[in-house]
Amino acid sequence: MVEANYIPIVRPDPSEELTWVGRCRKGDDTALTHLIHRHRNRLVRTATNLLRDRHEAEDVSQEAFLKAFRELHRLRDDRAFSGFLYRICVRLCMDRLRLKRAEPAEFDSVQNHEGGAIENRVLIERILDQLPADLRFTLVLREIEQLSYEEVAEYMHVPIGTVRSRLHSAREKFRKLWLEAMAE
Amino acid sequence: MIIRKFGCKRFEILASESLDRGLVPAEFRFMSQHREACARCRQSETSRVMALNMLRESAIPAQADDSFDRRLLRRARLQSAREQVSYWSPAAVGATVALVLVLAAVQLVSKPNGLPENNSPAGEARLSSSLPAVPDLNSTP
Repeated sequence: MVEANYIPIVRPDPSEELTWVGRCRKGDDTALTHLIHRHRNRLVRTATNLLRDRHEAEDVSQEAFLKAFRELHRLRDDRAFSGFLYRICVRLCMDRLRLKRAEPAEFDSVQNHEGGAIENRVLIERILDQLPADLRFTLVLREIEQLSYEEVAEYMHVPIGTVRSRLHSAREKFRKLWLEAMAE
Repeated sequence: MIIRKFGCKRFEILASESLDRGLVPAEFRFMSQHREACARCRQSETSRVMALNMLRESAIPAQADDSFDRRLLRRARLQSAREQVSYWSPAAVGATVALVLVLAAVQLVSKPNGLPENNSPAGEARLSSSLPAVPDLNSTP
């Protein structure tokens, strides 16, 4: 198992979340700032790996925060804020990707990435672009973000069985596309 | 040969599942036997591992920009202000209309229809010599 580029994911403590979300509901600016600070890096990273575009990912992450704060009244359990926020983010990424795919393809979104792994990233981006959006998101959330089946199911709003079957299909399709790309 | 013909699909599923969970001894044994017997599955397993490793290596270790918080807080405040306006604007419009109606009603009520009965001008009417004389319409020419 390769762990290059992998930054351990620190998941927020739900009981602590309860206090901050409660204060945020009452319009406390400090709580708002705290929640942003707490989730921003992980959210931006997830969106970046889903969309493969950092600037777009930042924009989507901001939209996700704003939507989460706007719809905070819909959240029944304050401890579930994290899942609520990421679900919104994944949905916005999905919408953004569909919109992007409807437009003519451009391969300039990796130009801002740094380092010698750029060829690898371009190749992976092209392969991911050929996968259906739901398979792509399941694969990235599981393989890159290292989320559990339960978390992927929660964020994508599908049953765990669907995650399992999508993951199997995604891995197989990804492997075949990778072999084709390597043969070129 | 039997293993190769009838076990490839199972091997493929177990190879994928082995990435997420530990296999039970029977599954592990089956995979070892099948791997030895089937070159195609062996190759596909190797290529799957390599492809997924490459995918993991391509992870972008992005972090939020320094100005992320500031921009987001500004947008959040703007959103909050808009919500306040959209919440209070129907009430404000209603209050304005009501105020206009009340003012109009007050104006109508306070305006006199004519001179009151006890009206008596304090001054004295005098005929000014500088004014032209009013012609007497009853007199005959």
